[in-house]
Amino acid sequence: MPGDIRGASRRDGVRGTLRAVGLALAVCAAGLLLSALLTWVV
Amino acid sequence: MSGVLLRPGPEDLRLIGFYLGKVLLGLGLVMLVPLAVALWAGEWNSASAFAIGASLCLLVGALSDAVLSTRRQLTWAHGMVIVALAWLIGAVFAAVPMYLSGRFAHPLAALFEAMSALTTTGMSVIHDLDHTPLSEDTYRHLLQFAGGQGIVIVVLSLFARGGAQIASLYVSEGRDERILPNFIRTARFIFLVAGTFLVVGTVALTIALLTAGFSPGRAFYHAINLFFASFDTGGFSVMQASVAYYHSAAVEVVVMVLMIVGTLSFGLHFALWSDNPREVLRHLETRTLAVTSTAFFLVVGFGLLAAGTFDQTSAVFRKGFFTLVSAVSSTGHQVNDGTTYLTDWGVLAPAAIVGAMAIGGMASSTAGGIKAIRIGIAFRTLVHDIRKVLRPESAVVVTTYHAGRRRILRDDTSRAATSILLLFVGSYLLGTMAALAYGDHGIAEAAFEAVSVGSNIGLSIGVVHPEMPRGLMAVYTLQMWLGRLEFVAVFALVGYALSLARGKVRR
Repeated sequence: MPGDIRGASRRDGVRGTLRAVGLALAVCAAGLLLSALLTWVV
Repeated sequence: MSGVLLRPGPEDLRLIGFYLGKVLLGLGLVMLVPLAVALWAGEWNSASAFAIGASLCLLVGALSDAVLSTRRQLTWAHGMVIVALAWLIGAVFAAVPMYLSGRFAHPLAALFEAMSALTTTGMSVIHDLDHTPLSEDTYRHLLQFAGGQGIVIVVLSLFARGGAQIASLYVSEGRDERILPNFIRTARFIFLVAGTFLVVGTVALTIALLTAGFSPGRAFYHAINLFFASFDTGGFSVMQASVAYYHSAAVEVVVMVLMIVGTLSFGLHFALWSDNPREVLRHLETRTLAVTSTAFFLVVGFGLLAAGTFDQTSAVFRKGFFTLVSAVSSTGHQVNDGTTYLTDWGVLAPAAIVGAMAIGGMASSTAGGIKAIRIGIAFRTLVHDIRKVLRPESAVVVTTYHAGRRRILRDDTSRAATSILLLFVGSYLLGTMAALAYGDHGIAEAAFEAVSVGSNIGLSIGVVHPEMPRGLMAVYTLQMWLGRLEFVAVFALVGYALSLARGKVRR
């Protein structure tokens, strides 16, 4: 489907949603890691 | 180029009125949902308020459709004026059932709440939020969804004859990234993404709330409202205590995920859907947010630990990181009482939160604030100027950045980014001065609240409350309106009004 949403399949939607959730979870994991690091340092 | 203003004619005003009528029709349809909830729940007082509000919107909308119908084409000026007025008039009409509910001290408070909803700010001045009827909570959260997804897009994608005319409206909303060539298709993609996350987010939140001990019905009700407030980066809450009410790490993590996903631009959502995930990592906006958010969180975490507010990793993450995500995404969900930012959080952490609120999220998303893309461009401009100074005069310096594709940094792009940045700073100053003028708050509280309101965030340190001074409420309402439309559409409206009064008549 690149460049055109008309051809978007359910699979594209599932994949896109999972990628977005994965990215957000990675950000949360980075936050947790930084929290642990800061607690240890300070 | 002539500097003479042309006076808009009756046909221009007719066109503007016609499209505003469409917006009111859409708003009237939105009100039918809480009306149905009120009838189902037996909330008769709320039902009558929604029936009156919906009738008013549908009547005015239908009248304008019948009387002002025109085939005249939209221009950029029309688009700007319609969008600026849509948010203002939309908020006025949206405030009608709120005021009639009797939960607001005066009409301005209801207007403040409606503007807060439509601009996805999330500040609330409602009385006794914890005992608000189901239908009124549904309405507040649904308004955020409508505002977040762009009420203009909602209405026009449903009613407009074609997509070409919508381009000018779409860009006026501060979402100038054309994801797809056709605006109707863009609007549909935006709703497809929102609809998918509505299902995923509500299910995840319901499960998290069930594990927190909620009954199934109550879990679903809280979940759907929390979804609207989180994904649309709005920040309203069913309970006065906001997300802190749930005392659940699982709920907080799901809300954080939704806030982060909500602050991703729809262009990047499109990249994730269309098998181009690397675009997310290469985009100037992602990189800017990654750098600024990491820096701000280091300051927040250090500040909280140094001040002795928290001493455990879990607390720094669940309070500090959550609040930072809430600020960057411009959502405004809170996991602690607002006054504790001042009394318990020390100095560094709240200062970093203010910085994060000022920057806000990504353009072309529901997030508010200056936007990471403008900060990134301002930084690239600085680098460009330094490179020019260091190179020989005859050297041609070209600076590039990645946003969808490799782009050359042009002077007009830099100028536009820095102008809007300065206007946001002006808005923050206006809100700070207004709060200081009433003498009830110190500079820290005044600045915190002004940045939060001006960036459409919604984190509150306690300045906003149901009994706050009306003048301050009016200034904050103006700030929310300006911030959501990123100033330009409002200035265009003022210019249009001036040309009505002083412009040269067309021959």
